[in-house]
Amino acid sequence: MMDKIFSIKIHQTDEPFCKLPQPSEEAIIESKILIERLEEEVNNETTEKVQKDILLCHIGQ
Amino acid sequence: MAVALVRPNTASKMFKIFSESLALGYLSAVLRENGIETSIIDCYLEDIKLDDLIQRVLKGDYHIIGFTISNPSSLEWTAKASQLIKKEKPGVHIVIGGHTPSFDYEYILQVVPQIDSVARFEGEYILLNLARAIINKHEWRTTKGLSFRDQNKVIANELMPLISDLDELPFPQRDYLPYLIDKYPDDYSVYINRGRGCYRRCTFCSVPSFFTIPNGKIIRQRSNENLILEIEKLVTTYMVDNFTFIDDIFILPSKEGKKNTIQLAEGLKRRGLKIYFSIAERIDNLDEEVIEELISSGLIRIFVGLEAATQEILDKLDKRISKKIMEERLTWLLTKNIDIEISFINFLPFNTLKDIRENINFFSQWGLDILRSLGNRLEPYPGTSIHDALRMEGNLARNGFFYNYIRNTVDPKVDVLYNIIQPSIPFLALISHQLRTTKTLFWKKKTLLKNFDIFYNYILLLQKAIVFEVRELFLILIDYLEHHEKIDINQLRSEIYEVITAKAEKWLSFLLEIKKQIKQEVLSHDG
Repeated sequence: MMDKIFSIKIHQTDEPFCKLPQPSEEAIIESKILIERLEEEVNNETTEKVQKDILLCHIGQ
Repeated sequence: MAVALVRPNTASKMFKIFSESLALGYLSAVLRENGIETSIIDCYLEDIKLDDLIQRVLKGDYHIIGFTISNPSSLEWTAKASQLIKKEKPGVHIVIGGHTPSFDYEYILQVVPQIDSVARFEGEYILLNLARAIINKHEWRTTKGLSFRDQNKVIANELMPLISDLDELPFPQRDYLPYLIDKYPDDYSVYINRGRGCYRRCTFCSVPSFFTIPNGKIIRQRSNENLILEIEKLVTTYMVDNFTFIDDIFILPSKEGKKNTIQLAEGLKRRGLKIYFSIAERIDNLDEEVIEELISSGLIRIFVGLEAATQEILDKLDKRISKKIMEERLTWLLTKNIDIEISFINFLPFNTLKDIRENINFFSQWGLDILRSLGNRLEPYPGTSIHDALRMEGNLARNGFFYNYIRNTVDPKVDVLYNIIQPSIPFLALISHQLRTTKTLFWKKKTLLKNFDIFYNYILLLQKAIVFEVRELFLILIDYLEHHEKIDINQLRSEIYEVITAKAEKWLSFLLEIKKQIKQEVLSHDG
């Protein structure tokens, strides 16, 4: 049920991105690496700990 | 060396802010001005791990090691560091300072015997007096502003009054600025401070108590001459042009405060200082004339903590602001050619799904970056009135040095929503961080970009597209929660996680592309 709701929306909201300069292969690969790295970090630490550290970054320590 | 001042290493590399610790800069400036040899060890910037810190500390042969603590996470790291340091060097004096320890000193001193003392509230002269006492082998336990253990008791000495004239402080030491400029030329920002204190008493903020518990004038600002002199020195010494004012309140809410800020802007221009800078300010305190003047002297970004989009919640947080004013100010601010950063607290012990929907709708309507705030859950810091209220209600939990509220007592589905989105929050924060750094890069390189307006419009369009997409996802989820009683939290959580991580990858590739193009254009300009 949820799968369906979200996948339809993903498709619908993709439109504004078509008007922007499309990312190069290099940018796509780099983004994959960053997301994987964050996934690893989240798996290694507790999500709560990562979140708190992110928040601290935002307020500038 | 007599004293080492340490900033804990607590943040993920991916979210790092490349700026110095001004707290350590001020502390070391006062110590050095008084002839006390001091070194700064910034474990956060240099990514120094605990073992490496111990090696540095052993080599340095210090009498005192001081840690700056800005939050529970850095306290946790410092407790571990203190245990390791004391094992190798039992005679060294470990002192900590900052907001959390100023309020939670009793607990800290009880559970971390390796920490010898806590310097409470403004620390510059407490640390100076402590260092003098220890170096001269005098009794340090009589130092004003200090707390320490005496057998099984925790003693809190009489507090030091607040520093009355900030111009009397030496300029903060900038030991790490050359390192930042060299290593992170596209990302660093020079932190600078105009004043201290805040005139409001928001329930979630520890700033009001920090500056009202000790005696003295709560709100103080440096003179414009003193501030401009420091900026001028930094510009000529390090060739920097990018500043971030870290004041809680930049423009004092009076005719005099407004006039004074206009004079500051004029002074910067008169001295020919071509800098650009960010400020943080209450939105009701933003005056069009002052902002215009600041923009003409280099203002590029304003951070405003808005906290909630419903009047009832704003009142509960004691923000003393009306939603109408918020809306009016945001509308005219967005006509200015500057970056507006906002934050709000999406998860509170007393808000509802309806309030959260209003936050999302209201704050996203202008395409502002709401991504980080979406997962923002109140952390009731010690020293805040919300911390005390939650404790009284039995709704406060302590986990080590961290405090959390236990549950939402008004709408349990708010906790369910948080539970579902929790694993996805770091990915939203990553996008927000990348948006911010892309905009910072743009501003830094603006003068070198031929078509800077096209670039900026691209960035804003991308931000809007991302924000609208996230908004849709959250609204669907909220709607689902509102209309279903039996909810499979685990299924929803992994569903949302999958969607957000996939989307984050896409958003990120667009952001990285824009960054790449800015850098390419700068290179071709240099070439």
